[in-house]
Amino acid sequence: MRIFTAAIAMASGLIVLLGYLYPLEMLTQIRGTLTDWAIIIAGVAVLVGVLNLIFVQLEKIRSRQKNSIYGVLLIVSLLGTFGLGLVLGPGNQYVQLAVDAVIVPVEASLMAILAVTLVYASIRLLRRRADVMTVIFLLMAVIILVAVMPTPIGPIPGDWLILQFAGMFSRGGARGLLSGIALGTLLTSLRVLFGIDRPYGGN
Amino acid sequence: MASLTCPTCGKDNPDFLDNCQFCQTALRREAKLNIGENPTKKSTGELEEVLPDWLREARKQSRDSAEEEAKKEATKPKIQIDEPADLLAGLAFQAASDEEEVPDWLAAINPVEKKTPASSKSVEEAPSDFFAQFNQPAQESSKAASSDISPEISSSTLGQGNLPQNDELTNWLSPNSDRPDESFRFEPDATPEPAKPTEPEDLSWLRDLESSSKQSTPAASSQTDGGWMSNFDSSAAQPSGAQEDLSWLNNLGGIPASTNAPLPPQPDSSPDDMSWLNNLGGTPVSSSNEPAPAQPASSQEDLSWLNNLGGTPIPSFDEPASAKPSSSQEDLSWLNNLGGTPVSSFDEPVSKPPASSQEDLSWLNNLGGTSVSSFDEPASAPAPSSPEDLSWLNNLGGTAEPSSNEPLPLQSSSSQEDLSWLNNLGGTPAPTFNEPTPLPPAAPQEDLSWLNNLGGPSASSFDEHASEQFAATSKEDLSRRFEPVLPESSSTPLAQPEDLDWLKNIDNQAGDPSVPPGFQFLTPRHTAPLTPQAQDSMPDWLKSATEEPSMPPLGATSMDWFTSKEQPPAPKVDEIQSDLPAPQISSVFAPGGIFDQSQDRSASDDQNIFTSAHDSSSLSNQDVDSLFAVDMPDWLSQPEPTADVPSGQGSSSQDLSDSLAPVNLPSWVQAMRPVEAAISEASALSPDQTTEREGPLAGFRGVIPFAPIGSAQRPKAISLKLQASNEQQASALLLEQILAGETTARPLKAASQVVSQRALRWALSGLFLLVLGVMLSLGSQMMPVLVTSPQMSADITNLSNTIQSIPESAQVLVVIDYEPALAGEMEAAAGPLLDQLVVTRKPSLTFVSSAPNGSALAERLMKNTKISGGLGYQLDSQYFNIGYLPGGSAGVRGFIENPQAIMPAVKVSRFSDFAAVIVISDHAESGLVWIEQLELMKQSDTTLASQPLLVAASAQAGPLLQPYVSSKQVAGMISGLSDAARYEFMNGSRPGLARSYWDAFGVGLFLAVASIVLGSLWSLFTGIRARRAEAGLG
Repeated sequence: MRIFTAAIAMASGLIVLLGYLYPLEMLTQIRGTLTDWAIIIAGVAVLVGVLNLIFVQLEKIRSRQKNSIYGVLLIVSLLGTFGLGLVLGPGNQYVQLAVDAVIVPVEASLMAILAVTLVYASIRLLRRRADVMTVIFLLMAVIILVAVMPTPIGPIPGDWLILQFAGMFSRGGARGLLSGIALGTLLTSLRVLFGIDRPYGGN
Repeated sequence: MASLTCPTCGKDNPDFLDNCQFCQTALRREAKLNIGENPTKKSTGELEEVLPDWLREARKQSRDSAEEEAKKEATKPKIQIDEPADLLAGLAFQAASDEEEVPDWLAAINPVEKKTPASSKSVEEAPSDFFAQFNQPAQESSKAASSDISPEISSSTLGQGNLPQNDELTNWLSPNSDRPDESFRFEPDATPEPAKPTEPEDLSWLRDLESSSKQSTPAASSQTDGGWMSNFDSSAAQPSGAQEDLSWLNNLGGIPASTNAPLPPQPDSSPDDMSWLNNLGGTPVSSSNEPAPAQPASSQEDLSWLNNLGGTPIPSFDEPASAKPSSSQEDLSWLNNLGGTPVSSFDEPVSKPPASSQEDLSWLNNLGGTSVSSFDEPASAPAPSSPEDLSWLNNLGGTAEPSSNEPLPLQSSSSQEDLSWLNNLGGTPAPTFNEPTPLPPAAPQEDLSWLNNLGGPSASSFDEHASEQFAATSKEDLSRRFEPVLPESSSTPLAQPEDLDWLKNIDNQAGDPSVPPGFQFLTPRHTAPLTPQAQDSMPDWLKSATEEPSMPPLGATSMDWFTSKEQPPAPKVDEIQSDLPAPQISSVFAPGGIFDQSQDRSASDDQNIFTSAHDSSSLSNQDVDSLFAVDMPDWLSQPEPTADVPSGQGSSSQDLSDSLAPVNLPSWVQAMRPVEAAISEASALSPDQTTEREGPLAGFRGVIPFAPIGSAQRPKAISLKLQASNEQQASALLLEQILAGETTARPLKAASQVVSQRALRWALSGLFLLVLGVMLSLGSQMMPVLVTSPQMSADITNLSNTIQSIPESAQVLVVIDYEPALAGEMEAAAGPLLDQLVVTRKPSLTFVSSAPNGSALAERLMKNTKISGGLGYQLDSQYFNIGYLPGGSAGVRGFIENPQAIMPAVKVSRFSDFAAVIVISDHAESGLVWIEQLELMKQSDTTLASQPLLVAASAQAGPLLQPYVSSKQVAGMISGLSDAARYEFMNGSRPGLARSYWDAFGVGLFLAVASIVLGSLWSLFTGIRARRAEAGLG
């Protein structure tokens, strides 16, 4: 079974890759078909994830674990929203209200907590580790924030220079990250194609 | 839902909880055993309740049954099974038991003989004359001696065992006269059986045993199992019958009544005790008859076995009980044969029935291995029978028994004669038998004296020379010697002086003034050596009887016995020698003979058959030793000390211990010796050497040398204190501190840190909420939005130009790829771009989302940017929301290649129909996917080359997407609120979201910067101070 799954994965990957490299009609059609299947599987995976979430919360409720009441709330909310969306449509104002009144504020609040946490961490960074790198990090962070920060008097003088300077390092760093991401993606793909890595459960 | 009650607070908790939700106490404790704890031992009784009912009942039943058994065991009289040599214990049970196992050696004697009740009864009825004369004098002696004799030796043993089994004994001792050839078969384990009517011999002594055994029936039953010797032990358990049991011992040597004087009067038992003795010699013993009337049958029965001792048919024991004298004669006749010499001495006429007595006793003649033809004499009268009865006694000494042919002048004399033979049993010197045996007031002494001669060292005096002397003796003298010692009351003055001399000798030899009067010792006596013929024909069991027993007689103190053993016997062989023929004497006293005193055999050998009259139990032990002892222990086979009866009851072991040589002491005696005695002896031996007083060497002298070995000087004392230097001590101290520090718990500091961290976070949160809330609520726009950099300006200009290049009413794809958390920033960033596009180009917007929430966010974007409301864009009219595009990069790839295949709701057939693509993303990954896939499609599809790609990204994704902007893969990008504010400012401040956030954004950044700067400085200062403090403590 392990060999079968590995063979399928390898074949699929090679066909899609060859289809990208050699735009043959047959390869294109096969690649198109496999791509469509992947899209369908990905769409169903979202639903499977939602169902899994429901089942986990149900088990937690059945075993009467700690804080299982939140699982009840989650399942009720999920089913309610899902039902409303099916019935009223996603564009319905009531369904939109759930997003506007619940989802967005909640996640925005979490993001706000993140901002406070970052400030707190920055404050205590020197207490935990007072070294050069920590000072540089904090200094740069402050400089950029100051450069970006609007002031009543307008932008601070030299903000452009700071931003360019900062942008230079950021752009360079970004490119490096992107290159690393690309190479990592390529290597991972090759490992999957060669059957070295089997994230699909073949190991 | 099940609940558990908390053992601490008592509140109910759900059963799925391990700890109490109120007090956090463990709810389930029974099975908890923490690591390091020792399990508590619980009593199984506490767990009784958890046992099932059936198990509890079973346990209860077992407990009840155990209790019942314990009660039964308690109620049962003690049964002494493992008793030491009670040599005659089994004799009483022989006749009655059919289940007794007869040893082979005994079976060889009389194999046909089987104890039956009828025979035992008959034996009881007719005690022999020989033993009859012992009954009367033995009455009183038995009374006196019974209280003195130890329980083991007490005749109760015999009485208990024998009384119920008189028939057995009778049968054993008196086999049918018609079966002279039948070998005697001794059955010590035989159960009591009714006496045979055909055995009229007087077995009063056996009746005593039987009566005593009846008193302790369980003991008797166990004794039967234990053998004939056990009968003696059972009698020991019942002192009440001891007197009766002891009386028979008195009758062994015709003990006069004086020997039993201290004993309480028991007229019924004493005749019985004496009666058996009457039967031993086969002579009528009036004394034995006197106490017999109560139990005549038993005596006959008891004595009958004696007839069978010689292995010859003893018809004498078939006599009825009335003819006691005759029975005694008959009983005694066999004794004549004990000496192993041809018993021709029993020429005396024997009273009715003589034939039976002769037959019964004839076997005794063969005890010495000699042919027994002695029972030819008719037993005409009791008086003449006594010589016959006595004659066999002569043979016991290994001598010819001419004396047996001598008629006994008187009944009393016959009794004395009957007893006199007993003197020879122990190898007592013959001269004692020549002496008249008056009944002295100290009858116990006299009565016992002959017993002393039976097994005493006096037997050693018998040798060949003595045998010659015996030959010269007259028969009459021998007859007198063999007269049993009568008790005081019943003795005949005429015969007593002569006949009791030998008894005196016994007494003298026994001689222990410490012995209480009436105390009877079992003193083995050596007899004359047997002739070679007698020796050869003598059975093995009888050969062993010729040796001295190593065990003191029953009832005799160990010391007394050993004392008597050490004392050289008085040479009184002359009398015996003069009377007996030389060959017979020599044969008797020859080495290996019955009466071979020269042999100091090992403990396992029994030299004497009959004990002295001083101690009837000793006689019985001797008998048993000679007859049955095969492998006797040392202490049992040791020769008995000379009994000293009249000295008193309380025999003193101290006197005896003084005369004993440690070397000769048996092991069991040595083990009893006190440590002090051992120490004193050791000190007496070598005063120069130290005696160990403690430990395993206690009592030993000179084991450890007094002087130290080697140098005489005291060894130099070595200090045990460790010699350590200062450095070593400091190191040790340091090690101790380290070890102590490991065990000490360090204080926790987490509490203060938790409080300070929480307070700072709350403070920061409050500050930001407060300030930003005020700023937002005020709607302040005092912070200007300025474009200070040319680059910034160029980027903004370029983006604006790109939008202007989009054809009007074209299809524009808007990709929503951000999370609801950043919806505010993204709406602020994408708002001015879409507003300008919509305002200037009025495109048809198609919203697609690569996130599940994208469709909803698209609606929110359209609403917040006031495009849908303010600009009149309607859903599914001016803009289309096609929903979620799954599959990640594959989905994007597929959508780009064939939009309708992936998203059927799309209004375009090809992706190139879109005039522009606007990607709104808060993270670089999703933006990269669209950028990379579009770039790849543009290479294959040239129509996509002119399709601009615009990106509205968050401030966190902008740096990562900036390279794509620099590479012109992205036409323009708005990154963060600052760019949005400037673009909005350039767009005429439309929609105005960015501007509204600008002042709050500035204040927030200012607070953040200030918090970071000030907080970092404060943290730096406190950190340094804390580290200095830790360094100072360390």
